Amino acid sequence: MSKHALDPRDEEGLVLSDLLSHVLDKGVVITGDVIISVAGVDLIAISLSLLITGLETVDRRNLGLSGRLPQVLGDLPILPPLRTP
Amino acid sequence: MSDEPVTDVSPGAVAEFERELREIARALPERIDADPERVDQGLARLVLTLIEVLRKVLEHQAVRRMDGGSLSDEEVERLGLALLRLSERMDELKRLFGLDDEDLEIDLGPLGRLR
Amino acid sequence: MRAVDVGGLRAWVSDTGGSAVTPSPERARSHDRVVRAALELATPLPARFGQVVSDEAALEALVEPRRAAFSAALERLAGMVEMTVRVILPAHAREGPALTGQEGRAASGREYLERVAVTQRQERNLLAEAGIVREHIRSAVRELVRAEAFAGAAAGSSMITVSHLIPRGHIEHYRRAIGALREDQPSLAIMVSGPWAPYSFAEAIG
Repeated sequence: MSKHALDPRDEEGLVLSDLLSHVLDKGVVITGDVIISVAGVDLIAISLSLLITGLETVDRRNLGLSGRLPQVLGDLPILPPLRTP
Repeated sequence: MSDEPVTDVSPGAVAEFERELREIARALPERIDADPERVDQGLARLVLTLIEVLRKVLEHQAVRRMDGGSLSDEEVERLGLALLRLSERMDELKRLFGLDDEDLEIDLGPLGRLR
Repeated sequence: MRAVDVGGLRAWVSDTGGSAVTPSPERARSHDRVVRAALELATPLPARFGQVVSDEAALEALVEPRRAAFSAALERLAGMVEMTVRVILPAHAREGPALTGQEGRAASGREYLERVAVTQRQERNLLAEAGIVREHIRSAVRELVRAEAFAGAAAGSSMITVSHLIPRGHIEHYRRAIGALREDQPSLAIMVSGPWAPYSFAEAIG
């Protein structure tokens, strides 16, 4: 069910790219500059989650939008917690 | 030996996965150091990403209202032009900071990756 | 490569000779080899590539404030490994922009909005398809999995990625379950890799 009779260069590239996507993009980060971009992106993602779910519960009348904003949000999938603990 | 790492791919799909994975790898950092330029770029990326998300939400809302038939032709045209200009302005800013769409991607779970 | 004890935790480090560490295939492999060596003993918290500190004192200063979070994470990850499944969504879920004739600047505001509407529809289709596939995968491996990390298709891509945290003892069972999924869903191109150290479950810490 797998790898015979295939171009070894494709396979090597595939395995390497798979490795890079784990090693360069995941894993715990504790140092300087990367924290700014990684932690910052995390902050944005979390804030957006709060923003979008927060808007869901806003009173429609207060927004004066006659129910359109929550309908728009209903069009977008609502975010569950971003990470599985 | 079951703890040896193994990669198993559906027959006939290796080339396709290799292409997709190469694209992912392409967007990964090529330099990791404390270069102050990178710090600036990191901040630019944050700000532009936030603007892009808001822009996408605005575009969703606009399409929704257009499809819902609640806008006059003139309103559709004005809204469309404003969003078009906003999109072009964002393209300029991205170019200015040397960021492309992949750089601005964050995974928002089921909302999907931001294009 | 050596071990440094930091407040009851053990960090695996190598000396870089003071230079910044540029990613390369060889260095990435070498990083993963160290992580796997640690994995032989007990599940480590993998660090992202390129974490450089000036000396052990600096390392301690970074680890110490996170010690409780790291310890809790290590407990959660004990005995676990990561399996990564990638699926290329079937052709009918993918419609490239070329199909919609979106060449050049929109000629009017309305045309722009209509193009945006088409793109949004395509994205929704892709999202729906990705959700369905994700459910197929989950059904296949539900009892084996402790946690999941999911990445939907990136811009211009139709590949989704699901990473699962599973007990070591379930590795073969997991592979067989994905194999069975391949048989049940021949339209899905599926790739499984692993076991990995739990890279995808270490991000949220510290």
